[in-house]
Amino acid sequence: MNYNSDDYELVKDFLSGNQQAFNNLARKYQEKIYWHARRIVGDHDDAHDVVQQVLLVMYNKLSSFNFSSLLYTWIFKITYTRSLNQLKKRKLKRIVTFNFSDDIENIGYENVIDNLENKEEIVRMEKILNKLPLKQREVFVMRNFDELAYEEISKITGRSIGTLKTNYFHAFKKIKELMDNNED
Amino acid sequence: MKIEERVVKYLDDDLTLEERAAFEKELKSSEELKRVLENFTGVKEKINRQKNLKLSSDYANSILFDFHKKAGYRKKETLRKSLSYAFGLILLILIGISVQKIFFNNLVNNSVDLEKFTQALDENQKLDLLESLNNSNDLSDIISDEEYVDLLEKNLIVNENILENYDIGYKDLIGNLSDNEVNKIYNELISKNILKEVPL
Repeated sequence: MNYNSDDYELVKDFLSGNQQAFNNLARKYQEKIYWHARRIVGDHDDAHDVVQQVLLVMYNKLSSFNFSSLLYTWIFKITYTRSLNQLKKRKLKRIVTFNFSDDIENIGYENVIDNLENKEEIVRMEKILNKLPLKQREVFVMRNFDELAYEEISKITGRSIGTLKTNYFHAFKKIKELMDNNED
Repeated sequence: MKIEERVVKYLDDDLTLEERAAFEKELKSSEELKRVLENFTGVKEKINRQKNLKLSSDYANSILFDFHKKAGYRKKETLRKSLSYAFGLILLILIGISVQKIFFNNLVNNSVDLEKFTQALDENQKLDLLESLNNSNDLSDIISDEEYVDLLEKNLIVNENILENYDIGYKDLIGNLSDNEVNKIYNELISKNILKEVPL
């Protein structure tokens, strides 16, 4: 997937004052940001918040981005950090609101997704992903859905490639078990 | 390497050329390897079907719209807060000056009035007055309820913009925390065993 073809030009245009260039960048990456966040936090509202936060960071910090890494790696790193933080905020929110349930309401698909033929399958997958330990979920989402290479995931998460591969294997195995149990 | 691990690596295209060749050769003769591969392939296909999810154009368009709306609001909010604080500060200074002025004026006027009043009293009247003052513990002895409410209403003029800032909800408690603050609180709650860590 070639993310980098015109990123440099768009960033340069934006930094020279062209707001439309930022809009183009946002449109280019917003869907990837949303789906990564959604699969990590497992909830539409939180994913929407993450997207807004990531766009804000991009808007404010693009001036300090020096293209020493690919732009999409930088954006994924921000998305990864913000998603993790959103999960922590949700934990804190549960303390503040005295809601200690770990259940997540899978709402919001109807107005968000275009191709909604297999809604049940989508909800089932989301529930399965939420049952994975976070480290396994992250690597599984980045590898399978975001189609990132282990080297890129390593840069984003700061974990070694060997550890990521182990996490991926355990994630895949657990997903298979959960799917098998679900079908019984 | 266990059979499942090899299968996952095969599907993930993470075997070396030699390992891959050996795997495919073994696949022709091993029923077990074939079965495990089919199982994991089935899972992989289900996962792949979810790769093509697309956001509806309505929602996709709303993301950027929402961002710019919030960005505009954030600018206004910062300005509004700055102005509120400035007005609040000016208001407090003015109230302080007014209270001081009123207090000292009243003190001077009252002391003159009281002096004339007490001079006109005989000794018995002075004793009665002292006794009644000593027994007066309640403000209602001196001022009626209506006068009291009226006095409060006249003097409690509050800047609504400042009041709004005291309307604390969840968003104020959590939503506006910085990442560092969230991490600090989160780690503190975990260290005190109040919160279980997000499973890592």
